[in-house]
Amino acid sequence: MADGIEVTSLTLLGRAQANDEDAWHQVVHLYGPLVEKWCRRYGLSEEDAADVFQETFKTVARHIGNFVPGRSVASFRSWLKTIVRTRTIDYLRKSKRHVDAAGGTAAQMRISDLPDPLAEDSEDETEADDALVVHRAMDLIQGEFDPRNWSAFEQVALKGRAATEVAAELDVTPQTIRQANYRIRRRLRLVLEDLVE
Amino acid sequence: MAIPPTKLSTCPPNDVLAQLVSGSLHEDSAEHLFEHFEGCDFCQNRVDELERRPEGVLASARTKPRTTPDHAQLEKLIRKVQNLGPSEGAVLSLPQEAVTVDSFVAALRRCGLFPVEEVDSLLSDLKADDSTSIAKQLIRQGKLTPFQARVLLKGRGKGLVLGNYVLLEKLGQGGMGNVFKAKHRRLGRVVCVKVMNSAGRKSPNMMKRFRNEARTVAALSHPNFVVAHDADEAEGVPFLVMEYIEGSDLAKHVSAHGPLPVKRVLELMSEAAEALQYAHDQGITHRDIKPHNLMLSEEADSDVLSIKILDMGLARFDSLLSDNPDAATHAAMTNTGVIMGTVDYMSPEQALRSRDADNRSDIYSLGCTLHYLLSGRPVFEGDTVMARLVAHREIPVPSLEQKCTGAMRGLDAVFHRMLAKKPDRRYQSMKEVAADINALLTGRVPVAVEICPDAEGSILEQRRRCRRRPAYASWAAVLCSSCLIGAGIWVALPDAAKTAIQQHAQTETDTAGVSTDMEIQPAAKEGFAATGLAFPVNFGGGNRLLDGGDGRALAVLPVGQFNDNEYQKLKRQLDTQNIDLIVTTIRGEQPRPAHDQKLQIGLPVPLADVRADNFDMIFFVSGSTDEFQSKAATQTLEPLINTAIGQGLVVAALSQGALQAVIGIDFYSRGAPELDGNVTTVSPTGLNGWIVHAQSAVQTKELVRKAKELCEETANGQKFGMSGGGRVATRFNGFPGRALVVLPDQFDQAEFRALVAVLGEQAIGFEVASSRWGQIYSLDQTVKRIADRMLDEFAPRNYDFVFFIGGNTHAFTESEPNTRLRQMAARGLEAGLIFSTTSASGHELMDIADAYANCTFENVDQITIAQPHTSPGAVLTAESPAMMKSLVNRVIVMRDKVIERRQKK
Repeated sequence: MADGIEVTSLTLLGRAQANDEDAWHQVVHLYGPLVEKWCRRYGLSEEDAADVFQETFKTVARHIGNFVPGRSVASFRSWLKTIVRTRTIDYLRKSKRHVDAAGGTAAQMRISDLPDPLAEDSEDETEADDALVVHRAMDLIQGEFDPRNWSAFEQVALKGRAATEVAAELDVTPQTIRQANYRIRRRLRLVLEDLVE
Repeated sequence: MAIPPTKLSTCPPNDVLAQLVSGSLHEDSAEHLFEHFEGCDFCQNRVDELERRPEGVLASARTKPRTTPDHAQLEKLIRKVQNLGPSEGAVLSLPQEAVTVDSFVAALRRCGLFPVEEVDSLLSDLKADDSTSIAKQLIRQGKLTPFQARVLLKGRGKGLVLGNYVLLEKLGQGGMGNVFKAKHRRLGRVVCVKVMNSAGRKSPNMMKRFRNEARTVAALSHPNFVVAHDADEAEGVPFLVMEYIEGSDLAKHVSAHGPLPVKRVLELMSEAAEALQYAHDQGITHRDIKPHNLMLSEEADSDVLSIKILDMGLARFDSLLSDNPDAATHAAMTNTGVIMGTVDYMSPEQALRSRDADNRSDIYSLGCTLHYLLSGRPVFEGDTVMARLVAHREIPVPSLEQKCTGAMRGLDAVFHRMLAKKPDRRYQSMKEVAADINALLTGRVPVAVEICPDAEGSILEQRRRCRRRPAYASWAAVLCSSCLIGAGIWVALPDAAKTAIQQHAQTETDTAGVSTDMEIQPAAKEGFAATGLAFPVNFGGGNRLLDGGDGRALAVLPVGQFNDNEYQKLKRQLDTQNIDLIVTTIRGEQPRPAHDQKLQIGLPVPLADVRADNFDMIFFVSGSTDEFQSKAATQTLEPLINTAIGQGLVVAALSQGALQAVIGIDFYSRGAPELDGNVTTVSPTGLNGWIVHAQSAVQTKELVRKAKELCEETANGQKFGMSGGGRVATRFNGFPGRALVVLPDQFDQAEFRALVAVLGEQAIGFEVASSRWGQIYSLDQTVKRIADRMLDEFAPRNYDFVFFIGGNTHAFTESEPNTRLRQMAARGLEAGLIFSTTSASGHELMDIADAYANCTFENVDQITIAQPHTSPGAVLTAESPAMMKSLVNRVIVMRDKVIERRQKK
């Protein structure tokens, strides 16, 4: 836990909850691809997925203020996933009304085939989901950092190279690399805190 | 983890480095680490190694490189959704209710936010044909705030401007008024405005309280109290203008970021204690200290955060009470408040009689706040307000040191002294509190430790000690919890002294009304038995709830038509296995059998009355099952099924028809079905429940066998602490009975207290229901509670007794509660329940006796004691509180007789 209380470094979730428009943009930026991925995994066509996608974020926009991490669902991710699933079911039910009895059964079967969001995902799946969000988060903040520092960060954190080695390559001191690494990780953390566990 | 603000001479521990690498370490602390790294090769290597092997989210990014190429379609969608905006998302929730463009424009002209001419020019630039999109555009142009737009979209314009202030945003809502962020028209100053709502304006008491707050805030001039700018009225609406504080309150802060570090909390508490000492010196008691009322604000010229104390709505001037002959009126004013403050932070004396709350009550509340800030949880938890109120009065205070990391020795002593049940045992002033907190911060021994060395022992130890001496159990508990004397000394005392102490303790117990010896867990946790006293008194019976035999099943029947063959087979099957079957329909209507029109199934319970955890299995019977998909039905069924599955219950649909109906509720999708003979057993992963369904009615037998097997499996596995087939039975083990107490909105406190005492003595748990929402209070207004649970939420079948307390009982005859009561009476009597009114005033209730006339009384066996005018049912009356005890005793004797007679039959 960070020592002390910082009003200024509110987390992204906190800012989105306080109706901060930028924060909302970022939340959507971070989670858009993941939501889309889930929609598609539920077997929705591109067109249907687009509808469910919008309905999902409308729901999120309305209720994000009441979301408390760790209360009823473990994380923002599982909260979001539940919403995607509910909206998908609503969508399928709605479309069911317009088709005949046989189609009704088909829709039923589709609904009943939807994976349960609260059922444990495989670790691999969760990791892939997280990775999707983390990559988006990196896109978001990359511009705030010196390109050289950024590449150092990528070399160390993502490629697993030693700071000293990278430092020699970029012609800076290892200490600079360490500090840059910390600043990027700190920034990333503030973006993702409360969102990714 | 706190890093001292000097250069580190020793190497930091691993967890600090891990925090650095994960980015969770604060910048200032990181600075010191980097300074240290400069001269420490060892740490350089350590940190480099850690950085190369990221944990958490970065690890996922490393093992899963970017895969999906970002395609244009998705980015377009994202941009579309981004433009919703969270605040506009809220606006978007309105369009169905939004008014027409004309009304919106009219509201815009009326509201006074803009000069009328400006409205025209504003609108001329916009093109949109519905009010919501006009509002959205105005928001985007910064002409309206989302809050203003929402108000205007309802066609209301009045009230957005108050005198010189323009309301910008709603910050909060209270019982008597709302709080807004607002801006002064000419000065541009942003302020916080508290406005009385219309309900508040109608009540003289509320008006008094409002003025009281204005006066209180004005009387305090201290950096830690919010500054009052103005108190005024505009068009008859009184409002209070206060300093606007940027920042968040401590409740929000903790719920968003988790508990705070010990040192930081103690600093904040010391600051708050000193500020409250100042208020107390001015003769002002706050009486509503809680994390929500403590704001963290940023000082203008420094980065130091300090505390601001808010909300003086409940505050009391001492001088007012002592000098004013009108003191009684004042007391009434504070007693009839709509919101009396959350009970989680309320001292026992304040809960009982708010006028008894003095400065030491603030100390108690600050102690509860301390607990919340360090642990993120209130001191006592319970499902009902009543349970928590009782806990504050009765249950020993738990250890705080064990709930937070980095606690220093002596924290519990200070915490326990702040939360002593009796004000005399607490710190006597905030000055003392601040001194002890500062002692903790500077490593000195707090006074509380010196006074009561035993207080450092955990509550578990205290209780263990108590249990070792069963004969003295309750007195020892009193002694331990009140820190009078250490357990070790007890043994060494001469018998005469023991007797004296016992007598002293006895007196204390008597004044408190209830003994203090108790086991906390089952009661507080279950939330239904506010007392949960572990008394030696034990009597048989109390088993109505438990007589479900080997289990208890619920059958959900469609009303229009249900497959009675299926139902009867199920019923027979359950009968042979000694499993009680209870029938429910969506609204409690009588369902129509498809084949045998003469079939009697008894009065169904409405779904709203059903609590999943009172059953072992739930069956859905086929028929006109479409109705399960109605909105009303899914709203009730969904949580029911979720709870049932979550608790390891067996949920089954009989036959394909019912299966299809409930599939809409999509609990079958929780796992892949696997076929097991003719019975499909679904064993969802990650869940402890089972779902079983049979493909046709003939398979019911197998189904039930399977269900029961599963039940037993659960029981043997002790997953849910069950034994036998009856999870219900074991769940309530240890409680000789369960009562429901129904209160009118104004109730007779003597009756209520007497009943609670008697029930407590006999270890009968009770729940309180009321006939309406909101504040209910005793006739003399000394006891108040928030009615948070309505009659609708209770199923009479779950109780052994239902007591109606006297008071303003004509509330019961109002049409809605009356309908509920009638249904309840009918169902309760059907189940052999004992109904009782506890005083003559409850006689008005006899109006519901009609309901008794319609019931078969099969199980009641004519236990009438008092002679109510018309009712042959089990109605008992006691003319005075003194008679309560014998009344309950007689009820128990009678109930036993009934059970005996039933068994003979």
